[in-house]
Amino acid sequence: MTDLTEPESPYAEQLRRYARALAAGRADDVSAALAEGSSPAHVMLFTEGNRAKRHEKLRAQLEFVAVAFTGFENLLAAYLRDRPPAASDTGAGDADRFLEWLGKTCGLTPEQHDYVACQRARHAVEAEAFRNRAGHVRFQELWATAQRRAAALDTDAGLRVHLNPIRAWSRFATAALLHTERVLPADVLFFAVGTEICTAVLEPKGRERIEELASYGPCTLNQWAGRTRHADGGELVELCRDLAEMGLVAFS
Amino acid sequence: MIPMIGATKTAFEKAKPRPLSETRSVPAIGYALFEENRHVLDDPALNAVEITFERAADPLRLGRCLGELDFAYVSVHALQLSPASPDPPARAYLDALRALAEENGAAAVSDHLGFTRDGTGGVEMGHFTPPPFTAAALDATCRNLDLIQDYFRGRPFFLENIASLFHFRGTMSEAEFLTCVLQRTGCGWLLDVTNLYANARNHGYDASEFLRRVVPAARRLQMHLSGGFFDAEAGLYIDSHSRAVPEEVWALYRQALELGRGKVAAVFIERDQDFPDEAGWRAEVRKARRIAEETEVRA
Repeated sequence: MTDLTEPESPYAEQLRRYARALAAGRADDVSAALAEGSSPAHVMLFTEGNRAKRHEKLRAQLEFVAVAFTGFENLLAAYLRDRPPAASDTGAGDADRFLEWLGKTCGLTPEQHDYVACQRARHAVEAEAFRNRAGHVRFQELWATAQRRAAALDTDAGLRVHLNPIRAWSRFATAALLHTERVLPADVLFFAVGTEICTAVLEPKGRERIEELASYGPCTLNQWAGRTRHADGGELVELCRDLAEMGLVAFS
Repeated sequence: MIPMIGATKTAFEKAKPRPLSETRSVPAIGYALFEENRHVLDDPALNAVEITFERAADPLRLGRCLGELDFAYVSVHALQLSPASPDPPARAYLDALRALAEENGAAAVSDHLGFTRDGTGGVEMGHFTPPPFTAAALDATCRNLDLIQDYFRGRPFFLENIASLFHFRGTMSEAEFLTCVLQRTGCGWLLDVTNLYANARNHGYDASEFLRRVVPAARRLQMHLSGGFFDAEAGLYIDSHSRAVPEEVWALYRQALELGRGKVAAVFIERDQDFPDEAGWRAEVRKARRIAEETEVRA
């Protein structure tokens, strides 16, 4: 057997050359390696087809961000020229890499920054759901009964509070994407509710409580109240009811 | 404004895999699932469905992508395992594939004989291409297939022959390479009849001879049927999944059913664009079943 544990085994090196040439559309770089009857023109058909599909997919995934830029198509074309997709990119991986590239390459206005941050937070939620599918499904099952259980928070000391595991924070510098005037910058939490992504703009105190709960893991209200110095049981009950209504906490 | 979207809830249940008896002679027959063919999935000629992972795996989904529909045979089809890469497939991708298979009661998983990337930390090409048919590529492919089969234990894995516009120089033919892979790993062959037809036409070999050579090496088979077109400018048959299955492919399908009798688990028709009307959808799956039944009666 060929030793495949070596990262640069001859086969690994061979495929690295081929894959990089094909990903960059450099048909001539593999012409010497083609079998009889295959030509660089055939390779170009392959690479151009892939490039067109990638372009179409990115355009569809980035529709929301595109409205914040003039000449967005030129930026996309430059990215497609400069950056091949990364190995094992799935879902919105390539689109997220484009947004990262955009941030590094262009001087973003504060509004453009918010559009990019919003889209990247949505990608982060999707990526977390992909990584933690069982957590997503389990939480949504619990959340289906959250409204009913929230009513018993005052009386049932055994209820455990679960924080939605499929979430991502972002920070907006402007009011361009906010419903109302807020103190800026504003912390925005993106989270999965069913099959959709919802958002909540939280006051600093709200963010602190969410981060506490994230660090404690599922716990009863008494346990939470016993560990935090910033809220009493009554305040936590009210907070939990609000968060449950939004889809951020559930109970078991 | 940030959209505040109302919550929806769908009950989520894991479905049990429903393996089809391998002694059954008429294969399960159906479509590669698309929104555009859901309305014909109740056709009596259809008892199988193939779910393409990249189309079905919305990370936020809750329920089965098959909904309430029930089939005798479900297979999950992947695009990014890249078995001919020097590195093994990413664990996260394998986990996501398995989750989709479990949710939909899939009896099998499949992907393509090719590579879509070089290795970890490298680049993705966007589509699979065949490896150079060499001993080193054979070793890498077999090692990855062993890992994949071990991971999906209990769900047979099928490897699809791909249509390729070009080949890299190698030391063996595609038929030799595929035969060795099937024999060494024991994995199933997802015989894409149209890919075979396209390659035979584009690269100048005999598709019937290819079948006679490779089918005996496969322990089990699935099949794909689809239709493409001849691009006169490029001088190539393009397997675009956009036309009805051509007569030449139906003829090869008959031959493959005869050669593989008793080990063909399922047949899936692929149509990704230029969708037919309802009668067209139904006619094609019924033809696939009729041919399979005729083949069985003759035998």
